[in-house]
Amino acid sequence: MGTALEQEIKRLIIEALMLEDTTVEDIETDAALFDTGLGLDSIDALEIAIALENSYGVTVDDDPEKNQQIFASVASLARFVEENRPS
Amino acid sequence: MASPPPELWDVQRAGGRLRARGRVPADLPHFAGHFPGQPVLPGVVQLEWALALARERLGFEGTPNALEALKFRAPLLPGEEFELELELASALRFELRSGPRSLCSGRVRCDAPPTQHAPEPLSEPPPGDRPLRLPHAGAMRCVERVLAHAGASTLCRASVPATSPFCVDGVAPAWLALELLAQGMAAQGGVVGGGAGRRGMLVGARRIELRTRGFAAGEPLWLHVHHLRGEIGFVLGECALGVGKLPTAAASARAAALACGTLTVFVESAKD
Repeated sequence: MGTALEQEIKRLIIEALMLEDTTVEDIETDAALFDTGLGLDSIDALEIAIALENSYGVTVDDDPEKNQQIFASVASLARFVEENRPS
Repeated sequence: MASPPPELWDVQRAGGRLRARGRVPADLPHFAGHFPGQPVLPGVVQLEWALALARERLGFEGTPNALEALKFRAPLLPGEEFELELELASALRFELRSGPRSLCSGRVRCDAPPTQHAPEPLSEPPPGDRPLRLPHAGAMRCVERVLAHAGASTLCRASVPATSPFCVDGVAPAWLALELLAQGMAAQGGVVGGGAGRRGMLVGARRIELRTRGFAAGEPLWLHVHHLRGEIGFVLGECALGVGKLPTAAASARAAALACGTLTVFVESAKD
């Protein structure tokens, strides 16, 4: 489990990527999303970035190093949304 | 004729799954126009091969109504070898790999088979015809002209050439929309990018809806592309394709479309 926002982001990832046979329970909050873990790639990252923008109004800049930290896991995505979401 | 099949060997079937090894024929007719001097296997041919093999060996039937989670991660070149994996369940899932590396993957849905649309004449093009810059040539070129470009939207006129390698008895299957929509993105890039004409590669589409069974060769089509984001790197466009009355906005294009979806294209930065 995780916070409500983390659960929401898991749902958003499943929807954005149209993952079949993957449920919220299958995604671990702290597990790596890319390469290992869900095995996502840069095309997926873009889809997730757009979904985050649409849902939370947060903008992901084109900064590979920073994005690697943001997109590391569901937990890091939730932190990023928490810190950058317009109040 | 449909596109020539790949060379295949080590074909193994178990239930609804199939695995095979294959090679891209070095002399596919598509290479002449996709692209001149720089042959790359069109993503839509990978889809076509998966569909043909699923029909032949897995008893796959039906007419696709949607293409989902399409990803083209790396280009396939003439003569290149690959492993192909098919899985037929509620949808047909396909993947082409090279060792551990996934080259492309996607799903084909047939749960609400579309009917064939009635042919309609295309209304006269509005004034302001623009020059067309497109890397596709010969029988691979489907976009004919850019009719209008305003704001983030580009409207093109297109048709499937009678010489298209995808036509069977004068009709191209509806899934060729993937290629048509991608060419719409390329045509928009040509308008926006000016004379430079940057190269782009289709990398993915989340869902392309297909609301017809096919497009007759030479049938006049409109292609509407609405730019969503990106200039260089990943570029996203909402694309729609239809017949008859020209659409005036992305929403009306989507509503009237015979095929529509959001495509992602990777555009290289301009060469010095």
